[in-house]
This record gives sequence, C-alpha cells and structure tokens, in this order.
Amino acid sequence: MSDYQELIKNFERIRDYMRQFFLYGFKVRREFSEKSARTYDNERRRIESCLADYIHADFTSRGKQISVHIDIKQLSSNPLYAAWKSKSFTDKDLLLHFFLLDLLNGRSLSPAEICDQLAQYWEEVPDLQTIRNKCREYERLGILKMEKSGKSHMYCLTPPDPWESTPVFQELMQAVKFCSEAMPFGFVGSTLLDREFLQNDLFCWKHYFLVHTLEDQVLLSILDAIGEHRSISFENHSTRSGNRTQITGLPLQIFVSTQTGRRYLCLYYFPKRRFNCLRLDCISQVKLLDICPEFELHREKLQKNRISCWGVSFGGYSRMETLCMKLSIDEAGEGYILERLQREGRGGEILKVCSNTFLYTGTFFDTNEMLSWVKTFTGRILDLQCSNQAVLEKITTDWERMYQMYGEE
Amino acid sequence: MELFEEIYGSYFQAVRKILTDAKKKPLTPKEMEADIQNISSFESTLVILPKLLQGAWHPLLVPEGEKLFSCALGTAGNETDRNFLKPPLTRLQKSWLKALLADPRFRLFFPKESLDLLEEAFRDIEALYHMEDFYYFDQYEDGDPYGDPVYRSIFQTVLEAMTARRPLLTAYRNRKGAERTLEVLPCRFQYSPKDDKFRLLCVSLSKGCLRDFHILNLSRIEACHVSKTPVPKTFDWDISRYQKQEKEPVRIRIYDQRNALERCMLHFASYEKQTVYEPATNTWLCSIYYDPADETELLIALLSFGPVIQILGPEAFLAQVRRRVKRQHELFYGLIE
Repeated sequence: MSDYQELIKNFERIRDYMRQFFLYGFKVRREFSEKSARTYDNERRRIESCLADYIHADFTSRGKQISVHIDIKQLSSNPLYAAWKSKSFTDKDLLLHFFLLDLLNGRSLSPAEICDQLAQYWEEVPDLQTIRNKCREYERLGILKMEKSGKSHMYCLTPPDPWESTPVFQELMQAVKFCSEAMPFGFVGSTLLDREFLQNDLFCWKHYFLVHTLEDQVLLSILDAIGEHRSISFENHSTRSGNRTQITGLPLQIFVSTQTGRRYLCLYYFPKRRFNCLRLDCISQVKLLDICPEFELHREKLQKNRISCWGVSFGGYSRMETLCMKLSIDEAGEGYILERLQREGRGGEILKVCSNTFLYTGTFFDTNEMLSWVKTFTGRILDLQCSNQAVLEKITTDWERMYQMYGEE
Repeated sequence: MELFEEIYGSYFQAVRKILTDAKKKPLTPKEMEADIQNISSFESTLVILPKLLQGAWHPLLVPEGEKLFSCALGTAGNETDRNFLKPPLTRLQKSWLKALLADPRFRLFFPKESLDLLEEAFRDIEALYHMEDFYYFDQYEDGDPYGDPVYRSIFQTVLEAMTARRPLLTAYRNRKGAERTLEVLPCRFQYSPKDDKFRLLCVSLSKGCLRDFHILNLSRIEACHVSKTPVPKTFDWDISRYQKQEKEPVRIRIYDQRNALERCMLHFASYEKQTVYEPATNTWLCSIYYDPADETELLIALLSFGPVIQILGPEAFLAQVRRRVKRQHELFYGLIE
C-alpha cells in the first residue's frame, strides 16, 4: 500500500465503496470482485479513516470483517460528508489559498503584484500563469472579485454582504445547523458551519438516510438539466443484474422515499413514451444533451399522473388497479391505527363499515407497490380484495409462508 | 457547479484552524495536532503536521524558539480582523442558501424582518435547486404546520430557550387530548423527514429538581415561554444518556430472495446494526439495535418485509410477531383447532 493517499482526485472512486461499506458494513475483500485487492485495501483504509469513530473490526474465518456501527439518533452531523472533504490538491494549491486570502483581504492586486508580494514569504513562488489560473479559479468559485484597471486584472476578496455583520447571520447559522442535515445538498451547509468553526448542537435526527449524500454530484448535474429543460444520457448500473446500460431521457423530477432510503430520478423515456423512475445511486456519468421544447408539457403530465403512483411505478400498460382492505380497529382504544390509515394511505378512501370495522380503498397504477404497507397491518385485516389477482395471490402466499414461519411455537 | 472542491476539504480547514490559533498565540506541535484531530482524521495529522513544520507548507508558519510556531500571515494589518483567513461565501454556498429561502422549515428560524432582509440580499442569486424538483411521495400527511404563526412563535421560543440553555414552561396537549403544564430543560430538537415533524427532547423539572426525560411533539405544545427557574448545576445538556437502546437487539435472518438484503440494509440504515453472512444457509443474520420507544415502529417495518426475512428474537419481540401472524391467519381462515 505504498501508493496510499488519504485524499482522492475523483469522487466516483470512493462513492461506491463508501456506500457499500456503510450500508452492508460487512464486506470482505473477495466480495468486491470488480476491483483489485489493492484497491479494496486502499479504499477500506480511507473509509476506516473517515469513519474511524464508527468502525468495528472482527477477524472471522472469512477474513477481517469491517462493520460500521452508527446510531443515527446519536449523530450531530453526517460522517459521510468526510468523503466530500477529501479532494486531493498540490502543495502550491494550499499555499496559494492562504496567501491569497491574506494578501487580497481589503485590497486589490494584479497577478504580477501578487507574485511580488509572495516572494517575501515563499522561496519558490509559482510562475505568473499559475497565479493567474488560481485567481480565475477563485473568481469562478466566488471567492475573488475581478475588476479591470487599464490592461490589468485586479483581484480582491469578494467583500462580505452587509447582512453578514448583522444578527441575521447568527440566526442563519442556527438554521444552517438544521439544514446541513435535513435539506438536499446538506454538505454545503456543513461547509458553512466549517467556515465559522461551528458544529450542530441543537438538532438530532430520526429516519435519516445518511447515504444520500454520496449521490449529490449526480443529483446536481440532473437538477442542472431539469433547470435548463435538457435531456440527459447516463450510465445505469443495475444492482440486481450487475448490467450497465446507457440511457437517454428527459429528467423531470426527483422522487424521494423518506421511508426506504431511496431517491429516484423520474424521467420521460422517449423510446417507450413513458415516465420511468431509476434509482439515483445506480446512475453515473451524466451528460447534458439538447433542450427539449416539450419539457413543461411532460412535467405537467407527470404532476397529473403521479397522484396515481403509490410509489415510483407507473404500472404496466393495464388500467388502474384497485385494492380494498377491510380492517378491524377498536375505535375506543386504537385511534392511532385510524390515524395511520389517514396519514399513510396516500389519498385512499377510508369508510366506516360498521362498529370497529373500516374499509380502505385505494386506486393506483401498481398495487404491487402497496404490499409492504399492507403487511404492516398484519393481524387486523378482515378481508383483502384487489383488481390485480397476481397481487392478491402474492400477499396471501406471503402470509401463508409467514404462518408456516411463525405459526408454531 | 462542483461539490467536490479542495477548498471545502478537511486539510484546508485544519490548516486554517492552526493558522488562526497561531495568530492569537504561538502554538506547540502538540496543540496543532489537537487542532487537526478536532477537524480531520488521525491519518491527516501524519501528513499535515510534517508538511507545516518542515515540509512544503512551512512558509505559513514562523518558528519562535525551538518548540513554538506563530502564523506567518496577517502582515497586511488584518490580523485582528475577525474574518482573518475566512474565505468569502462561495457561489455554491450562496446558491444553496437561496434555495433554502423557499423552504418553510428554514423560514421557521427567522422573524419576518430577517426574512425580508435575506430575500433582498439573495435577490440576484440563482437557487441551487427548487423545492418543486423534489417529490416526497411517502412522507406522512400530518406533518407540522410550518406556516402557522402560533407554531412559528413556539418554535422560535423553544429555540431561544435551547440556545440560552434556559428552562421552558410549556402547555402541552398529549396524544389523548389531555393538557398539562410542564417545565422542561430543552436539550435538542429531533426532526424526522418521514413524519415531517419536529420533536423536543427535554428533561422535566419539578420544584427545581430534575425529573423525567420527555419527547414532546412540537405541534402539540400549545403555548410556552422561557422561565426564570435556575438550571440545576448538575444538569448535563448532552441527551445521549437518555437515548436508550434495548440491551438485546432484534435478530433477523435475511433470505436471498426479492433483493431482500439490499432492501433491508437500506430500510434499516438509520438503525445501528450488524450483519454477517451464513454460508451454510446462504442467508444473512442481522442484529438491529433499537430504542424501546420505537419497538412498534420497528415491528411493523419488519412485518412489511413478509417472509423474505425471519425474525429470530428476542423472545418477547418474536411473541408479538407470532401473535399478529397467527391472528391474521385466523381472520382469513378461521380458528385452527
């Protein structure tokens, strides 16, 4: 492992490993068949370093087993943000960063003047072109502001906005403590807290899926495309089959599950003229293509259609499917079950049939997606009917198997 | 825009911390090591410290005697500036903040005049994303009323008490609708995206003495104000000791069917867990550690997986599963003699 470096050049390199280690927490070297043993060792070491506080190592007959133990309720911030903070750089990058922040604070200098000033501190001052490039890069990032003075480009630090020195800034930092974990691209909030040397000391979390952050660069590219109404092409890596396919479509919206920990890209798939949802964690190498003039039309159609999705499936080519579930609920003592039906039923109709008996009826594209939810009511379903017989057979078979599994004490 | 930029990196952050501290007073290598480890990993120390002390980054520090180092920067007269070496807000950061302004949860933190000021300040910034780009299809429908002025006022009062570490006097309506008055020490907000709710984790006070740990739904606090009761000197605001886990985890066997392993790992990713493969049966054994308060939630989540997982224990948990499954069988097929 002599070539091991803690920092990395390409985020994609760490994305898959970190996801698998974090989720499964138990993969050994030979289970990562796609890359070499050395790559496995290096990535494992990097992840062990990032998640040092949460790593447990056990030696078993199958080799050294790394497991990640994280109790989300005890976390202040997402430890996987460490991956975003591990980009490699050169010595010159780091030195120039701090010298520029110092030299250009409150005054404007041209790259040549910066060069002269640097010579006071630094024996091996970079050449003028390197300084010009760094200034341009920092201007692009928003750190520096450029003004022309004759033929010279004069750079200074972007001056802070007046509100940054008001009490609103303190209020903002409290909000950022929340948003850096709860909002899309929370990693950006984490950089804002870093900037103030602050940490979240106000919030903790429940039902928090840390692993989403690893998809955020892909998400950002897709949102750029949505903003510009552009089609995209990308590689889709099926986790089940292992197949990698190139897909082209018009991205319309991001579907997020707050319960299963998955995020999906919903796109209009031109060849089949249908909406389709694909998991974000399976998507890589997003390329923006041409603007689609019909974007608004497709998005409107999606808004109309998505109320008929239980989850992310737009169904087959058949008509809508209806599922009716008759439930036994003790009105006096089990009001919370009725509340569950109302808040989790996604618009399905709830009728009181008679005392302590309620009927839930939902009509969706694909009732197969409802089965996990239906099973959460196991033990109180008096009757179940579905217009899709295959779905009905599937769940009754499941209950039969569960009875075999648990029926005998 | 790129998220993966070196300027946000932990090495840059650690070096900035060292330089700002070394500007205030010269530092020893040991103190620098502590700065690095507060921000980055142990391995980073092995890289950063030698580079700063003897390597390529040494122009940033000036040796003062044998064991002390001060910051070489700040000669332009800005060393007393509270923003010393603090980078200006980047386009990415501003763009993210602009996106937040549309979110009612973000707006909870500000009085109207602050929101007006921020909206004006970010008027010409393009938002990193728009709320309508996301569709949370399985979020519960009874989320907190973030736009309700009473709720907003209560949120801000709780936040004020928590920040100032002061007790809070609350009028709370419980699940059954009964009202009670509680004086509490507000430790943390807990947020669940699934429930779309804030809860207040707090410890009650009675006659100046610490009582019980409570989780209050913020939307059920009907009124509250910061109280003048003194905080007991022994009180530890760290709530981790109140957030218990069952000693015995729920143990499940995951079968190699319907992609159950990946689905389980994702679904239960927010729980502390340990999973091992059992080659003889081609199954995975997973232990899930949980808070007793979440037992029913975990139970129904496990039931939702059907027969592709098998719950193995503990016995009391398993008994609840058996009871529900048996009852379901009876409801469909009648009592089995």
